[in-house]
Amino acid sequence: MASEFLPSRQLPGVTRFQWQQLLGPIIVVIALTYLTSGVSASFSYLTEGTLALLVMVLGLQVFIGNSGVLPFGQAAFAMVGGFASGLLTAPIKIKENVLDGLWEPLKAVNMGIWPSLLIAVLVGALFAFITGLLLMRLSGLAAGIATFALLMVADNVFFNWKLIGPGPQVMPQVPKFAFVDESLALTVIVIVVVYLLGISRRGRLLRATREDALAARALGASVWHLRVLFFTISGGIAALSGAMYAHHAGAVTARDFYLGFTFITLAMLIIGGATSLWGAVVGTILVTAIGQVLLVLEGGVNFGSVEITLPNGVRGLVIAAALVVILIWRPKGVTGGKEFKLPFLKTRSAAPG
Amino acid sequence: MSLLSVRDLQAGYGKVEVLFNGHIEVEPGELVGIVGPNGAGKSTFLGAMAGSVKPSSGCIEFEGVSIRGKKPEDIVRLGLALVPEGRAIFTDLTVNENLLLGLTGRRDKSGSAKALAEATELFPVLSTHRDQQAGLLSGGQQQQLAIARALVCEPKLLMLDEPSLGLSPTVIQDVFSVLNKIQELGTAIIVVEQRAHLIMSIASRTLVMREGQVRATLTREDAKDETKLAAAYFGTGSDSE
Amino acid sequence: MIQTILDALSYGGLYGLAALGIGLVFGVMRLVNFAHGELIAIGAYLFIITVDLGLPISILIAVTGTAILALLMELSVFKRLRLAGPSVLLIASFGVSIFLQRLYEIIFGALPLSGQIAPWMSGVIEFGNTTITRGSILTIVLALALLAGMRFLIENTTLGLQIRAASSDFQTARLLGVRSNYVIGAAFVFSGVLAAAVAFVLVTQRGSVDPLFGVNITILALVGTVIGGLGSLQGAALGGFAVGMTISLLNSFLGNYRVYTYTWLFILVIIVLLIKPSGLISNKAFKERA
Repeated sequence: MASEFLPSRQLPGVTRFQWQQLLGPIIVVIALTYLTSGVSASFSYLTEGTLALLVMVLGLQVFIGNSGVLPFGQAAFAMVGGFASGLLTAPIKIKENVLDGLWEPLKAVNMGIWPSLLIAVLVGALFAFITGLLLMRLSGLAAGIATFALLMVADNVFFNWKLIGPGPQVMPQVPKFAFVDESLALTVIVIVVVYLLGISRRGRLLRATREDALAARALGASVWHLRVLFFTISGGIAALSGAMYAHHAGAVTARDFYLGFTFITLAMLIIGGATSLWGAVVGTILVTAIGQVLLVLEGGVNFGSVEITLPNGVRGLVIAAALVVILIWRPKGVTGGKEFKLPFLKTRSAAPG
Repeated sequence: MSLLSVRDLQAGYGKVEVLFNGHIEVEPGELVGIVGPNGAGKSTFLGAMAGSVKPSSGCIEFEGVSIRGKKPEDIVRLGLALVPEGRAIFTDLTVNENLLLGLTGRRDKSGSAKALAEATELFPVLSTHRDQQAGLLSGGQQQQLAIARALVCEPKLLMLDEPSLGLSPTVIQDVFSVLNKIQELGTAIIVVEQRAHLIMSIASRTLVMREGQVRATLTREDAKDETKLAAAYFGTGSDSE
Repeated sequence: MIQTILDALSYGGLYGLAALGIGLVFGVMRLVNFAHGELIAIGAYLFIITVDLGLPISILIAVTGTAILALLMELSVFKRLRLAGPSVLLIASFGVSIFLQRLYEIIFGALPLSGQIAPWMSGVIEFGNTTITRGSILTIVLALALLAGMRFLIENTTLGLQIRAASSDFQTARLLGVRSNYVIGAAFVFSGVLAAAVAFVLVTQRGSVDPLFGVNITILALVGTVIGGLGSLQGAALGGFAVGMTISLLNSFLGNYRVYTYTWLFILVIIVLLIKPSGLISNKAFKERA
């Protein structure tokens, strides 16, 4: 292929494997997970939920960061994953009693969390592959709207079709993860996958198409093939996130993965910086932290003799405002879209930006 | 005082600089040509002067006042109008509506009717197609419309980007003969052209651009000298500046 | 049967108004404004809050207030994003939308506010042995009047001409002296006025307003704008009209399967985009601005 003649330093973004770029985010995630989950049971629960969100944001990053296309429908794949893993693991008795319209073979299945996670990822990736074959022919605004339409279809189907789920009701009694370590392990695996994809030859080619579609085509890269590939992987990761959420909350509904979920995960990625793995991690941590502080304040806090109580809704207000402010003043996010870098460690940087 | 005075102008798109050294002086009522191969930065040069491309450094003075960094809608009001490449008429609007839009850039609204009448006098074909959709006009007619539309705001300096593009030789003759008339009415003109001979025969001076820089200035006399032109155009031999 | 047709027409008119409001702003600045729904919501809040002042004053306040909020949106957010691409603009409007929803929640509470703002809009009219609802007739009349008014404004005034020119080729329009901020500001104001009209009809139908009041109709009107053709104002209005008609008719004829109306609608959207990414009635000069 012609692209092999192109020196790697001419392709944009990170090109060489650097330990600090991979280990930095992993260590931060592990350290924060154990620090916060050690505080109390409710903090541990919160941390587990945040890890599920982080996986979603990473799934968004691997597609948006490399292709430059903004999809609004990745929550649909989280929905697929959450429903698949929830249905496969919920007790047969519950399914027979509560989910009367469910497809018979689905009623009879019951498996452990780990095999169900694997199936959820595969089903999510399959759906992303099929829809990606069509949608990845589009770009720019048309792609954004079409993926949004996909979310609308998925929501409408999952909200109503009782053959494949609880319909408008909640699917109860999904087995929960026993420890936060399970979510943590899955998150670390996803971080490694996303990083390796970013520095892979295909990842670099896809980023080249983002900056200059014409030059990329001259390199022999089919934009469509590359986008479908990354869309599929992104869909699989989103499905994993949905499944992790189901086993975190112990229940799942279609509305868990709708506009609110879409907004918060996109906001996390953009606030952190969409073009880097580190941006996804920082954005998720930052938005969660802001949200928690405000949530506590909404409940009312005493500072000495002063009681501060924020009205409900302030959390969403602040995060939405943060998103808009970032888009205006720092469109590359708080990390500037750069990977993790130790301040005192000198490395030969492979390429600018 | 020159009407337009540009020095050391640099401009580009995002990180990519296209124009490295643009300079030009235009006297009132003068017709100046700019020639050069594809990608020489000619359109960027015009765009930077008209305000549609952001200059990164340099100096643009129009009637002694700096206009660098001003918005295109303000620059046209000062009397510097650009007819962009590819004519850029509004194909969905009628001929008349296109002309009316040209009036937007007038500072003095009272002379609007007279300016419209004068422009259509210069291009009689436009008045016969007044209410037709502009997209249905022929290429030559569209070019005439684009020029007329720029003229109704009575600019002191009219800039044309490749007016001959896609036109047949006879139509090109028509368009260029109108340029002479416009000049006689007192309007200064800058014309960017690929066809060097065409413009050099009517321009008082012609700038040659290559690789984002103005490399040479040729007089009407130089135009008759093939070797001098070729040297300036292709960069063989030494530059005259 | 007559009622079914009238319902479809009134839905169509309503969605046409909403889609035209979105299309106007999209035309001049390539922004798919998700926050249009919150303009509709503020209109509805203002109608309900001012109900005791009498309808004329109520209309004045609601229309002015909505138009002012639309202009504020442009001045505080979108004006600062002039160089951003359409996807970034869409995300920003998503953020503005959520921001305003939460703001309404803080100011007005999460629970619905209710009020009867135009009681004469409800009730039925009898023609021999068929009865039809008054609301559907009045909605059709209002929608037709406003669409005709907007059409006049856009086709016959200087400002309308400038908006049309800016919608088809913004750069060239500026070269001719069309003031970008003025035209974009005007488009936002008009979209605010249209949002207030939509709010009036919706709030008379529902009798209450909550922070998410405008979300649903905005998503559907957005679909109309896209199907009709981004960048074409007639396309936007017609697209919205078609979506409203389709939803109303599907709801009437799908019976128990009407819950899947949106599935078919959005599949249709994807198909339209795949066949013609610029929409059915696309503007020939339409370009995504860089």
